Amino acid sequence: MADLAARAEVAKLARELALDADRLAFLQAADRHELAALRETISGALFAAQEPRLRRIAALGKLLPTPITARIAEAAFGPMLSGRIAGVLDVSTAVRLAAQLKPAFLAEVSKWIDPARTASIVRALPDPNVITVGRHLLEQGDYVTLGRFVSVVSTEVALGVVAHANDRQLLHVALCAEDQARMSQLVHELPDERIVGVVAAAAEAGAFDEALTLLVLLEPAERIRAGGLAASLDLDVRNGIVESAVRLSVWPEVLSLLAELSDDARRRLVNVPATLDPNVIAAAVRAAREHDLGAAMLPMLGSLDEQHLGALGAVPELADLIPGLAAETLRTTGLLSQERRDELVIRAVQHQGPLPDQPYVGEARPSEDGELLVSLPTVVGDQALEHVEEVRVVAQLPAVELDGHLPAPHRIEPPGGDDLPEDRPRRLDEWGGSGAHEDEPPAAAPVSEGEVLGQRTAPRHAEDVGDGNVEVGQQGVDHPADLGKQVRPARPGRLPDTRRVEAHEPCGGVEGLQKRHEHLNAAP
Amino acid sequence: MIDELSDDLGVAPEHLAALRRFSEDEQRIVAAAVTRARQAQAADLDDALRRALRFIPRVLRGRASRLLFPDGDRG
Repeated sequence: MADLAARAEVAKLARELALDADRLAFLQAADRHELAALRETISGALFAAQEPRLRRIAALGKLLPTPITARIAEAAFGPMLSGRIAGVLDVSTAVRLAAQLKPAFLAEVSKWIDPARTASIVRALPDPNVITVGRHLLEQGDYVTLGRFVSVVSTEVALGVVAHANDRQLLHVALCAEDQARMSQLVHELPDERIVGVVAAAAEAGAFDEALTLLVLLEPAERIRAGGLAASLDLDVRNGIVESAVRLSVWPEVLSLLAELSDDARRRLVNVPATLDPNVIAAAVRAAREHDLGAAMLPMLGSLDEQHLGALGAVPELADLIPGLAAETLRTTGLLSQERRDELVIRAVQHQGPLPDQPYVGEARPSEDGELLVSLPTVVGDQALEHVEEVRVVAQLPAVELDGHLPAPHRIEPPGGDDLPEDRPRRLDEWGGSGAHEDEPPAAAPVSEGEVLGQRTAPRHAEDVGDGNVEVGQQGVDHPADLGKQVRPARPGRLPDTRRVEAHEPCGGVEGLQKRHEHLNAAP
Repeated sequence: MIDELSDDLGVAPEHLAALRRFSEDEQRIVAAAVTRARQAQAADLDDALRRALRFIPRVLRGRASRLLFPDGDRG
């Protein structure tokens, strides 16, 4: 996306300097806004260097009859100089002069006009004349110039030019528009068929990058509308758009767009062949994590069909995103029914030694007697923790018995066998304790459901893991909806048994998790 | 190179910040292009003014000439 915008800026600068744009192609590595500022600086400085003489020429227009001035402009000055002179003409003189100039010449002049300096002149010109100039520019394929004037001309004039543009031309003008907010206003005026036509034309030409760029550049309301219309197109088109997202690495924009779309439109866009590639989803997940877009990721994952959900199993980054995301996603998509064989899921602290510098120490147990305590993963920070043991998922069990069946008790073997109050296998619902007594040490910690189930639980530093090897059955809940119940306010104190775990979240601990959780809940 | 270009253009160096990320050679390409463009535009303007005089009616040419070339240099 940035490449296209930067390319347009470089093209404008190259024109200003009378250079082939290829000579300045290296500048495309810069930010489009920085490039625009650079171009304006250079353009302004070049203009300023000639301004005194340009003003004397402009004064000539008051001395000579307008037809003679027009002839001098066309025959002696030419388009570039005439365009610069326009920057110092008063409006009435300019309008009189423009009326004497041929439309084709005006179109050439427009390429050298600074829209910001001449906006009042352009707006004072008769609409049909400006539309005619726009048609000339369309015929020449000069979308850069057209794009510069999008913010200057009236809506009527813009739509008048658009009426003469085919869908492909309209796409290019929209992409070159310097003022995307204004472009969005114009898109608002276009009928659905026109927008569909633009996307379809882009697809036909293989210009998916351009189509996607336009989508993400639009203001939210029009982006949603255009995205919804794009979703109505054939599978090939939708797949091309997704492939373009991969190519352009615009996942943050695409995830935001997907989150804004209707469920149906989102489903049509995400269930395409391209998203069967685990690398594609992994790239999206990484982008979501990098840009704190977990909430935007949820609707996408929640819209995947069975076939695509199956591909998620090969995306380790998914569970490593943010804790709340994975849990929410797993819950909403039913992924919990899938086996997660041999996955290292938690680090349990067997002895409750204080952990300095940990942002929070949480404790977990079922919120009510009879409920199940699901595994609370511990994400270990950069420093080694004492008394940390591994707990592995038993391979044979699904994480959740969706039919409500309670998994059978599973073997727990703490190191040394004496760390648990009772040295015997325990049922899952025994694990949490009842919490029935008021004076009982603190019970459930303020953990989000994501913290409970969703975190990727493989330790980041294997060397921190103790030798003890506690095996538990992958703990389950009797229904996915129960996952949301395991949230309770923190209370000070310590639990005497082993169900205390350390919750450390790399982005702000539990408080951060809760904020994210609220954010996730607020997501559409 | 940015400092030289800013002097040439008469603008503060921070207005050319976009060029900082580029190599000295790349900055030199831009600076040379700007210098060429400024010189070419000045030359084009001189030529255009002299051509323009030929289209001005004789009766107005003296006034126009004094307006366009206040220093009397018409090439």
